[in-house]
Amino acid sequence: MPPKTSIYAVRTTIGQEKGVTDLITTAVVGETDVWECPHCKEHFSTKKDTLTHMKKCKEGKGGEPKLVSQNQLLGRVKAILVPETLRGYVFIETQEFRDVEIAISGVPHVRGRVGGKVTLKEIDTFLVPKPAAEGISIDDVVEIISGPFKGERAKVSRVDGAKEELILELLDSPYTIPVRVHADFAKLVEKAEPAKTEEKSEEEGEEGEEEDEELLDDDSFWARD
Amino acid sequence: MAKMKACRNCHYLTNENQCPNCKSTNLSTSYTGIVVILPGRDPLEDPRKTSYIASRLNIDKPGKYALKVR
Ligand SMILES: [Zn+2]
Repeated sequence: MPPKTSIYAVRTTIGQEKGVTDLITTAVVGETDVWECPHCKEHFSTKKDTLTHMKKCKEGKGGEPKLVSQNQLLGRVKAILVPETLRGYVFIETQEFRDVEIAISGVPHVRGRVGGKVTLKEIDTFLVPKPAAEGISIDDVVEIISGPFKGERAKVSRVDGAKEELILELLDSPYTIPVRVHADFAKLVEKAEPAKTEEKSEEEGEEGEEEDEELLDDDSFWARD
Repeated sequence: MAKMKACRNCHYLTNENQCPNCKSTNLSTSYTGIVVILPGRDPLEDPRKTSYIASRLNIDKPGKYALKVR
């Protein structure tokens, strides 16, 4: 039976996704319940500890431990996800929407929440990431987004799918040596002209459409709010 | 603070040289994405039974994990 939870998206300042996650984590696990001995008013974090104390409390006998305050989030917030491929968003899995409101209240760098639930299909695109090199093929143009060639554009001369690596030829560069780059560090800029790979053009077309992602669907949570 | 390392075996994030979760020493500094699985009111409860994200990623203990490890 699938868990009865929902997943909500929260917008954060770009670059603060992990900090927000840490603060929400602290809000969930950092605060204990507070129980009080009715006689000496001493505080304990569980009812059991309070009862143990009350058996030998010098101020009085009998009565019941008093619940002073209760952690409202423990057991209700289940998970927090930072996909990182999507900057400025954190996903929170909770029992209900109200838990999200409590969890993010007072947390700096939270810029708002996205109305509505995130569908399981949408969250799956982050949980089961596509291999980095998928959708990139020979002769495509990519931009290198990290490392010594950051910002350079290059043409793909080979795709090493197993290692998720691309062998690139830098454009606008005097160097003709091939550059080996992890596919995570390359962003697709331009698909190769279908004419160059005529026998495979149909397949290429399908792959190209996939690049748009379902993220642009009208019923996607990106379209709401 | 130094960047945490991710266990290549179970994806648990740690500052140690050995994974405190599965005892593997095969750790990586190259990872993307973070998943925090929070404990329930019963600390021994299996999060896969109460969390979709934990069940989808097959994470059986609360903690902080990397989403993708290289
Ligand atoms: Zn491990």
